[in-house]
Amino acid sequence: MHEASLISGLIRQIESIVHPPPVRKVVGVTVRIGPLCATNPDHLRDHFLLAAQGTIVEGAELKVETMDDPADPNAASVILRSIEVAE
Amino acid sequence: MKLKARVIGIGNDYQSDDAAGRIVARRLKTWAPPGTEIFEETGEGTALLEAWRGAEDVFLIDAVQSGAPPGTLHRIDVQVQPLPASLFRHSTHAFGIAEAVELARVLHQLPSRLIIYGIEGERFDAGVGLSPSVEKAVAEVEARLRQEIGTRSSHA
Amino acid sequence: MKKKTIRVDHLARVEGEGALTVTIKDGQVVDAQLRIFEPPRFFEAFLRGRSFTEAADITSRICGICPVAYQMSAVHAMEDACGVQVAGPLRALRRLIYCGEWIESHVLHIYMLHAPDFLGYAGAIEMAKDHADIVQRGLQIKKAGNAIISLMGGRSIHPINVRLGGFFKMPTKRELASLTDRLLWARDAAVETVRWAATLPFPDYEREYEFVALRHPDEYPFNEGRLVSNRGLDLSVREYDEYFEEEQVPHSNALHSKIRGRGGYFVGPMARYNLNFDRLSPLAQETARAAGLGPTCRNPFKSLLIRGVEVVYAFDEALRLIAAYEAPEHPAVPVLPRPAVGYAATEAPRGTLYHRYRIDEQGTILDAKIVPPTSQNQKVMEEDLRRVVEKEIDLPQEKLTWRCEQTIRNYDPCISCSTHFLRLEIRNEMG
Repeated sequence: MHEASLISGLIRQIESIVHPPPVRKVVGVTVRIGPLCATNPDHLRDHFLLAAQGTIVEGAELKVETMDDPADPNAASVILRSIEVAE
Repeated sequence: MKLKARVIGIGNDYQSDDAAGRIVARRLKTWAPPGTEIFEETGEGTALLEAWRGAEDVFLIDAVQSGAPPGTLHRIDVQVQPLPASLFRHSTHAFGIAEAVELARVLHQLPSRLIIYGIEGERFDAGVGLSPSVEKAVAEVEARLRQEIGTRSSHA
Repeated sequence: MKKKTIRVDHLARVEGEGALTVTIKDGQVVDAQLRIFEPPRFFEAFLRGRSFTEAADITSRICGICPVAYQMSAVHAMEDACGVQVAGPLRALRRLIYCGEWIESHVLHIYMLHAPDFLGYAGAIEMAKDHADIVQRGLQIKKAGNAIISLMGGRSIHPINVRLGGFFKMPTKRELASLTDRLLWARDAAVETVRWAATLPFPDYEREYEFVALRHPDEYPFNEGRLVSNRGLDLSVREYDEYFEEEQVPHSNALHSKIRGRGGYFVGPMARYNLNFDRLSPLAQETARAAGLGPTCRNPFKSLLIRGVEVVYAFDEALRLIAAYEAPEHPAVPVLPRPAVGYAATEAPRGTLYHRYRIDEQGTILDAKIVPPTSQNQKVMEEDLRRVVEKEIDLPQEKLTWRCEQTIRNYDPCISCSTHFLRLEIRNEMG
């Protein structure tokens, strides 16, 4: 449930960033997850695959970087690092 | 002699798994060794500041919703790490446990030891009774607290 | 095909939990919605088949912040069904415990939630870093309210001492008198709070509302009175269902209340104040005037000040009740069941809380209806949101979001009994 809402928020965020043309396709998305954010890369990728259908990120590869420091201020967060697009 | 230990169970009995913390507290009531106090709280933050006042070792138990599988246990030593606010996403109060801990840190009102057990809940809608995975986790926290508090007493 | 990478490095948003959504299209607000989570519906079902003596205790668990309000509405409704009126010192003690709850709830809202908004802090924690003394003062005042509830309620959370017909155990005059010094200090601190709050920057925003609250012949309302409005409504609580209705809205599982044939209305401190200014104590009136408030206020952002004035009143009233108290002979009067419908509305910190129960000759609850203040305020909250966004549409998104949250906080929506999370989402749709 948490992942689902996270991913749908993420996709919307991506849409708002890449929306204006000439972007034709999103080919890759990189996120970074903190050690306290209570999710894992496989889980996230599954949800991404599901939620991506019919959106601008359908078919894009989700790369997940992990972060180890629990004292990092973003330790409990997921950060959208970058979006790879094709024009 | 060791100063007082206090167990504070947090939650709402009528919001399904949210009751987990209070159920742990209630079960410990019949067991608690001398010098251990057991409280129940709703999770309203400023009331928590009062609830742990004067205690040395405080164990707080609450249901959490961070996205981990239901029944997952989180143990946080507040002196060692900041409390991830996202863990308590389901807190029924805008000024809840995470806010209380961080406010206490700023006002220098944290107990010298504050351990938080978070039990990942599954359902938080209005209802009575725990999910099976949470029921199991409740038993596990109860056992762990008996040990943690027991060990502490034997060193007294 | 050319590939390029857009660096973002932004926190991922979590969707689906927003309690509020404002949709903007081409610079116009096209929609403002609150999504509400409402346990009272569950409690209505849960109460069926229970004994009439259990309603007060069960419904008080709905809300950790206003258990007394639920207890008071429940006992008054049951006593109405059974034809019992509680008078004298027992009635006074009910007002006293309600004073404690207003103090706790209002002070929590003023200091921990609302003031930080006005001062530009993300919350009380950030505010405490700069103004530890102010936050400490808030905590101390709240504690004085808690002392009343602990003494009257038998314990500090989920008071258990309230029952049909009165209380299980009465405080002695001496026990009550022991609170006096503390309440005197706190009353001064409450006056100081209003003086301080008057210096906060209030947005310039006013509109016409229909205000609804109880009105009593000689008291500022807690447990009794007629339901009145500034547009001519004047009815007994028993007529509530004839004048108010609840409608289902598609975006929320909550029911939105409205006045039949008229629409949304406003309950809560500002409504009480506007309809009962003349019933406030002299000190509370004087405090209000010194803070620049007249007998009527239509700026919902100033509800923070009005909460402060009500805290002053609650301390004043508590001190008066304690000074006049003589313990009655019995802690409760008998309440015997009979087949009937009972109605009650009392003034919870957040506004009018309506309960209706139908019971049979054994006192078994056949059906229950509970209308909490926050669901009554839904419609005006959505309208306020829409207007605030329209007025401030040129603000950067972050500031606009913040202003919207502040707008909703004006109503102190009860997070556990009505709204889920105070998290706002502004959707900017492309035209």
